[in-house]
Amino acid sequence: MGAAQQAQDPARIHGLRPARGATPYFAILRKLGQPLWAAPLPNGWSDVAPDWAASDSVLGRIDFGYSHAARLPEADPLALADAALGPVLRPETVTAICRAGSRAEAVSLLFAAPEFQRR
Amino acid sequence: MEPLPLTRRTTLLGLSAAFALGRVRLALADAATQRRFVVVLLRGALDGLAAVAPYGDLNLAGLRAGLLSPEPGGGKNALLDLGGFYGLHPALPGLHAMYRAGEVLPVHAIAGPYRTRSHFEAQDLMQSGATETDATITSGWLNRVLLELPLGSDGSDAAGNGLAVGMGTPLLLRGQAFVDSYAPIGFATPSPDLYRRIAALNEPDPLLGPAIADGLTAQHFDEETLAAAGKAQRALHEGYGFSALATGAGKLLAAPAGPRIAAFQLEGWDTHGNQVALLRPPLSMLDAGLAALKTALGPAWGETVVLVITEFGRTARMNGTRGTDHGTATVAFLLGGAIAGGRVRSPIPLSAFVFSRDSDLRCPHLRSSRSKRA
Repeated sequence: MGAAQQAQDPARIHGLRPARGATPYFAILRKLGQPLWAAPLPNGWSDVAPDWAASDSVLGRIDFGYSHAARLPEADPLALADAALGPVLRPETVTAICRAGSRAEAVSLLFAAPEFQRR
Repeated sequence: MEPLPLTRRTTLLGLSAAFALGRVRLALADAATQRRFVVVLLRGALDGLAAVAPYGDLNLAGLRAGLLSPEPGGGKNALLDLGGFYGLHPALPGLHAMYRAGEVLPVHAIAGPYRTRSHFEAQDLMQSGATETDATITSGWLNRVLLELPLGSDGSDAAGNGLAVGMGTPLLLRGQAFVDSYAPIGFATPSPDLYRRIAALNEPDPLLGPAIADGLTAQHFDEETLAAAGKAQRALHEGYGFSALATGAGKLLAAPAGPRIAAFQLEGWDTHGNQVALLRPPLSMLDAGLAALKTALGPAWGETVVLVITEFGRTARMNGTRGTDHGTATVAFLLGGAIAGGRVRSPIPLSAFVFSRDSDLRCPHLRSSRSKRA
């Protein structure tokens, strides 16, 4: 979609954007603190957990997980948890998933669980 | 203006087959291009007795004294009167104003034709229109409605496309018909209650636990501010607040060639504990969003029907954690300039035969139709 078309899209004027088509992955990567082709020199991305555990970056990941969860088709959250984490899945996370008020909430809780974050 | 021929039966009790086969589809089809239909899905099971409290019912205090708002006239946090027996939750002043203008029809003690108490399954059935014994339907009933809308004289889709607003397209709108999907730019953020559960899940983790707790405190998502009305007001103005979405969607719906059918989904209704504090923010969000939708629609509000539904109800009796558990019947709202509202549709009297022995709010209509079949 060209810039002129974008400017004419009524939804943009109202503060919304069409959600169809490609997900703006560059923007997501930037928001998650790892912009494409922008690794700090000379050491590259840190491989130490505390460097990725600042409050705002953890909350950023949680928000992304929540936004992404809502776009997944109605999958079984427990099956998804089992497939993603297997034996690492904690009973507390299973309980939280089972008590969730919707599938999107359940998948958000899975994405935000510490064992998923550290996987 | 003549009210749309929407009846309680076709619109609410018969969300399954009746919607696809019955009069509602015809009502929309007959309406051709100018009428709008908006569905607001409340995911998590709204407590109907909290949203529209039958304060005139003598059984109520014995079942849920800890959850009741003061009767109308009883101060700032009192129920908003709906005509002497029912009162609207104090967090719904916008809806109350519309009710007084005759634009809101709360329908009480209603339930879908399914009896599952799983949020996931019930939300699927509410949106697909399938029954528990016939789960083969994989599209949403509102998408199937789109397929039935008339084409314009030039063969184009005169009614425009359906519109999913917010994150993702709900099952309600998925299916064969093309549906536009709009979302605000940027990430959505979980509700304070969901954040709280995420924080609890991470609490044992030495790195993530403190990081999340600190982050939420910095954003004022901590326990004390959760109940404060100011918090909910602030969240309304964030991109993913219902008000912002409703304003955007309302303008699209109002446009001459815009969509005619839209769906929203709101979370945060599963109030198993601390219900009084937890229910207020989502109710405020709903209230402000519905008012914003009306404003954004402008004159088109007069040709709009909004249906607010949730997957099932909650127990009438308060549980041990000052909340309510999964139940049967609840309240739904029909609103819009085309609605003959200003009254509450409900079985009368609501008590006695409606409250079951386990203090669930039953749906008398469904019970009677069942017994007829039996």
